Amino acid sequence: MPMIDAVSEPHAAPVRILVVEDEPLVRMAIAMELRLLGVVVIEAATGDEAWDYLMSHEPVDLIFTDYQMPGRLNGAQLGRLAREAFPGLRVVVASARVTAPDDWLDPIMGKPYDLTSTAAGLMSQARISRGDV
Amino acid sequence: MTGTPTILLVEADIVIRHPLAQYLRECGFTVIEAATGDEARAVLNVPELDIQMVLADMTTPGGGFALRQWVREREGLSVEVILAGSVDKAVEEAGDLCNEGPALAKPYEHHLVLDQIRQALARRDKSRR
Repeated sequence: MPMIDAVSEPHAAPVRILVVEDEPLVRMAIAMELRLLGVVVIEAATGDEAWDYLMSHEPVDLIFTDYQMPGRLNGAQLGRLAREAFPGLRVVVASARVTAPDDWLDPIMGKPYDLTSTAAGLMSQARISRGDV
Repeated sequence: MTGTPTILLVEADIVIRHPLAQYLRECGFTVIEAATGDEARAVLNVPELDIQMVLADMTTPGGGFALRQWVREREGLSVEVILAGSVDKAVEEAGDLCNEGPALAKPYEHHLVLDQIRQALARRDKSRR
């Protein structure tokens, strides 16, 4: 494991996480929890909105997306498109479904989730993804 | 809820909404985002969120005048609704809010937000072709 200089952070820029969730109060809650950790949160209400944002080429370190959403893209479809366009981009899909969907093979985060531990976990994953740790 | 004044930002286009929301946060506000009028109503129906004002794009579905009328008709809901008919106007309103905001100094001039938005919109349009 590389030694981390205690004085200078390898990445001074804040972590940026794209949160995709069609329930505004759920989205707001996880976004606020992430912002308490210093994360810049981009909020998208649908997979289509999230894809729209990604197409503007603003940087994103991780996508946290609901699976079932209105519009053209569910969370799995968004995740696949995002990984194709931005190889290595970490995508975490959350779902209230009892059984895992067929179209997403990575582990699914169950809903409802604990806000504090989820936010901390997403922050860690984002930092790992961009090579901070 | 948070101790800082809270603004509900209603804007359908994420490429406009996000930089505007970030600017207002850097001006010291708590900002809640809504992509549609329905989302705005869902948020406004939670009194604990203590929203003091709404900045709404007039072209957002279910937003604009309909949202303002809905707010006026809600008993006990005391919220100022500012409507903006264009991105330029929305940024200008955000700049005015920032002048009166809780931050000791403006983070940067609001026209820089407009530049950022225009550049992001241009990159998105190019990606779509």
